[in-house]
Amino acid sequence: MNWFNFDLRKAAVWFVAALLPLVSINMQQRPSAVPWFDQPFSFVAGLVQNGFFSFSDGVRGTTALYVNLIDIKKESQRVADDNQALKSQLLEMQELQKENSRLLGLLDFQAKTKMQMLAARVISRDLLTDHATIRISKGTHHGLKAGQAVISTEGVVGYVFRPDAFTSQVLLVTDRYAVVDGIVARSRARGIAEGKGPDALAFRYVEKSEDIQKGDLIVTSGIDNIFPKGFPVAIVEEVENKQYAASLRVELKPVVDPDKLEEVFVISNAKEEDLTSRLSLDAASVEPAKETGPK
Amino acid sequence: MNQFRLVKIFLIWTVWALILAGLQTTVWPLILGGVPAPQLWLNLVLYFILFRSLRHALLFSYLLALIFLPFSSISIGFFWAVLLVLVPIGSSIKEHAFWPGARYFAMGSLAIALGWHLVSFVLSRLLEKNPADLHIFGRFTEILLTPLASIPQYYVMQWLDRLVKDDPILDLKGIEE
Repeated sequence: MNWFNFDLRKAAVWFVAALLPLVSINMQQRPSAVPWFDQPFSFVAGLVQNGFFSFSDGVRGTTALYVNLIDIKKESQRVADDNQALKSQLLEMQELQKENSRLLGLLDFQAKTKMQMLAARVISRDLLTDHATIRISKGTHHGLKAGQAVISTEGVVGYVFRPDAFTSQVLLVTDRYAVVDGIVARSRARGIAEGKGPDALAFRYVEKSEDIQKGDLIVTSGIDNIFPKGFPVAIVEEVENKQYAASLRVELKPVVDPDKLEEVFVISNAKEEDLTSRLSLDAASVEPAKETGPK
Repeated sequence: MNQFRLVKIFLIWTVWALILAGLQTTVWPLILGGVPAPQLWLNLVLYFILFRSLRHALLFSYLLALIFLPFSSISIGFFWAVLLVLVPIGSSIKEHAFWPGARYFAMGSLAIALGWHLVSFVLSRLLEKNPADLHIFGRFTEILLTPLASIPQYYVMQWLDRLVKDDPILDLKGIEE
């Protein structure tokens, strides 16, 4: 073997190869520090890893989200169903509460009066705009007769118009064919309350010298022996004293809103009832029917 | 036309008229309270005007007035008076311009709803001691809602006609005789 005949380049390569780890080990003073020559690779590796991580994390996240969404959708549907059921239960309860308080009011009203009354439910309205009638759930079979007064706890509703066997048509005080003898609660001025349409009446044949003001309460006079004396009919909306007219022009608003009526009382005998004293206590609480938009 | 078929036709249309009146006076207020209801009964009158001869339409509408009377406080005389004006006018318009179909029926419904309010208001002013008030909002709403309800009604009434085999075209030809 000729020791002097060796490949110098090969030897140099081996030398460098052996030296590089030794040098780098010696130069690496801090184990955590990235050597200068490795820094670009480290940067690229970081980018690649980050990219892959983001991708795989995204895929995993989307998959998990999809899987979760299926569960969430089911859960959400269940919660929505529960919520709906609870809401309807709540509405039902509120409706029952309202009905309960309304019926309690009716019972209280019936207990406090001497009148013979029959409670009935409102089952339908008039077919035509120009007329105002309702149908109630009691008829001749229950003892009803034409002309009997129909009231609610708030005031006068109308009177029995066409009684049938098991139902009756009631002519509301707002109907153009309806009239009620009335007086002004404050000044005792007399007149006839006549229907004008779905939510209006007129107080006719009132002498020009009479004292009537806006906001006055018109009550039944009781002389017709149909309605109890002193029961609220309407509130004065407008008073006009025309120079050449024979009487005052008085516009009224009914105290009872026919659209909101659900239960009424039919009075079979109102002769002995005088609600004037009761009215003086309740007058402050009487309000006209609230505007619900014309029919 | 035999008597049995006549009775069948009468019964079917009477039941339909009662259903319409019930829907309008009971179901509608129960759901929508004080919102003015579409005049479903008027669409039935219109159907007879469009698909029957004038004589039959007038007779049917008078019968309908009797059926609808218990649903209102209107007097029968006044009801018939309004129909006596409306039905011939409607029939006369039909003779000049008519094409069967739901769209024409809806247009007719709008016209008859408008006509009903106009004629009844004018006649009330002329004939009644305590005449009707304007109630513009209520009347306007009714006039707009009636044609909307007329389209399903039209198809049901066409079906009822086919059910009793009361061919409206034959009656329509009868007008020209």
